[in-house]
Amino acid sequence: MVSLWKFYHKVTAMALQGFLSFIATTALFLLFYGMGSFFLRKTHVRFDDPLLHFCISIGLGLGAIGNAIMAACFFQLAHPLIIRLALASLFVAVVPEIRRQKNELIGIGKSLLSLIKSSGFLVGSGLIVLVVGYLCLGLLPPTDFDGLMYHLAVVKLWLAHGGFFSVYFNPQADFPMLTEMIYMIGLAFGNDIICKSISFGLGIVLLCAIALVCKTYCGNKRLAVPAVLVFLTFTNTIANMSDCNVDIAQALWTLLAVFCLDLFIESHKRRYALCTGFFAGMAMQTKIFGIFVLVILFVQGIMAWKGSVDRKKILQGLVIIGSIAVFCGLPWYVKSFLNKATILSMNSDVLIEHDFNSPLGIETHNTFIFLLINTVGRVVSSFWSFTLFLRQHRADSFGPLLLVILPFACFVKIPRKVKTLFVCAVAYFASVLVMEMAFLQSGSSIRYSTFVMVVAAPLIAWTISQLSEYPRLKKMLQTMVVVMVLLGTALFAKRYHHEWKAIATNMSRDAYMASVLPEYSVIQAVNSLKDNAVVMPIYNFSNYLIDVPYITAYRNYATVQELKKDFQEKNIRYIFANNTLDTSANANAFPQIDNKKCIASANGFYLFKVCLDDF
Amino acid sequence: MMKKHSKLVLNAIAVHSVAIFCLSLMLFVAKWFPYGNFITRLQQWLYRVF
Repeated sequence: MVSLWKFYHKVTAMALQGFLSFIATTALFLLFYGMGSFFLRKTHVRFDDPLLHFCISIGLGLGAIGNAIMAACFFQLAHPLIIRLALASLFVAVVPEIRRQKNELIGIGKSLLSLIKSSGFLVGSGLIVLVVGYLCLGLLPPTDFDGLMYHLAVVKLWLAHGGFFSVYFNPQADFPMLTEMIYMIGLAFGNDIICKSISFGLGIVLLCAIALVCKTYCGNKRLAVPAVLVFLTFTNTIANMSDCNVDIAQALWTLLAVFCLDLFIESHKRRYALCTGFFAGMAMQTKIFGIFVLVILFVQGIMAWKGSVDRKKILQGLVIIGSIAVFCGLPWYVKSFLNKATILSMNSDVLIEHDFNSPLGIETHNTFIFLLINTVGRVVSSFWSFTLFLRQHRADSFGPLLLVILPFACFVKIPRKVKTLFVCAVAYFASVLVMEMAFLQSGSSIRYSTFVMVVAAPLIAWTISQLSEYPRLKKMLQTMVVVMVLLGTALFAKRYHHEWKAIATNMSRDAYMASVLPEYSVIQAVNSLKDNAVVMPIYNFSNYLIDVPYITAYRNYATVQELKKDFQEKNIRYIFANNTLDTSANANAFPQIDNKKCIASANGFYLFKVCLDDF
Repeated sequence: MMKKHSKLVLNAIAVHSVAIFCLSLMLFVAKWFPYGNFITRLQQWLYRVF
């Protein structure tokens, strides 16, 4: 009997958690879909394309629930039990709507399957393998750097507190966080794998939106599978799609806003303007760079305004869209401003010693030449530098396909709808460049430009499809795409080898975490502390995994007395030296404290006990 | 539907595309599959040149 129980426990080590997370996430997305579909039916908003109706419904439902949780957080009502009960009641309420839409859902599934089948055996099975790979990643516990640092860490603190409070020791705590409100659902159910599955689910909706772009903008639904394959094998997608990041969500809401604005421009119906405003607001609520959606919609609106006979309606629509978007984004930005006096990230005193202000490019004492090189030079060379040279954070790049293939679009006649896509991508990219010049002198991460890559994938497929007059050129470009897709797939397999091993051997959660996070065994030591004293991690890396009270190092101390006083006031008795970027610095954390005793260490990470009386 | 254009420009863009593709392919392989000393040294040389 005991051995049978052991066998059961071994078999269900992480597989059961993954399976339950998959069921829970599917139910959650059905809830989003049901709610959104209900809103659309009651407001008589119709989308002719079932796939567009599906994406819009999920977006509306997710936005409504995310905003409801945000409101609960403002009123300190975000307790796990309340969230669980509210969601269960909502699910029961939308079951009739889901049943009503059952045939439509089955129809969407069938049409997507026939699309994959029509793309040929190799391409179709390649796509399925990649999607299943991403799904497997989505069924493992979160281990991504940003997720553990703030996407999940801050939400965990808010949930424990019952709502928003100023997490002054985490510089990223006041970013707009609509997606994290949805991740909070997973934490409320006590299963953080749901958070990763939600991220994967949003990725799948984004893939559907890319297929829609191919169908409605490029006019050829057969381009969908190649476009999705290209998108899935971008290094940026490989790094982000199944992580607890928000860039995929931001790109999705931005794309849906573009879709809805186009519908408004074509029909002049105010309900589409309302939808556009809501999705633009969701993009703004998701990430600070979501503000760029306003630039895109403005440019799109101006293009329509120039060619329209009813300019007044377009202008009215744009005002409505802008007002709703700003109204949606405002609570997050006001909260950020009240807590941190800025809507951007604050560089805390003791964060990594890094010169955030050192600009890229050649340094010179001549201001004019400096500006010329750093502004004009960077703008002109941006296409090449974003393609060839590795950017900040994950040392990522666009990859060659954008710069290699998209210039050939100049040689073909571009229909209005495809032109809209190009304009949107350029408007977004220009916004990223302006942001780099103004705020991020040391460069931006490629994932901030995820929207550009989302739009570029169908455009790459479309451009190649238009080059039929040049068969040799077309063949060459197709070969390049195949090479990059194969390399991307190889990278996907290589990058996540720990994850494949964890799935294949059905590792326990702890064993998996220890295999990918060198600091994990010290974090386990931190979590085993029983004296209720506060731990001070030096950096906010992996903060999500800490279960005991903690305050991340948040300031510098001029004197030892000042440090001692602060530690005593906050009951800080432990220091967790957790610099993952430079572990050599960990052994000498807080050198001004002489009397500290190492009580756990592994792989260059240390947990010190501080004796305050003997400073 | 192709536009009228100069063949020279088309060829120039094709050459540019091939060059960019080869270059970024090499950098991609060096970054993500750094198993060859040759590619790593070539990459270092490229960074010096650019």
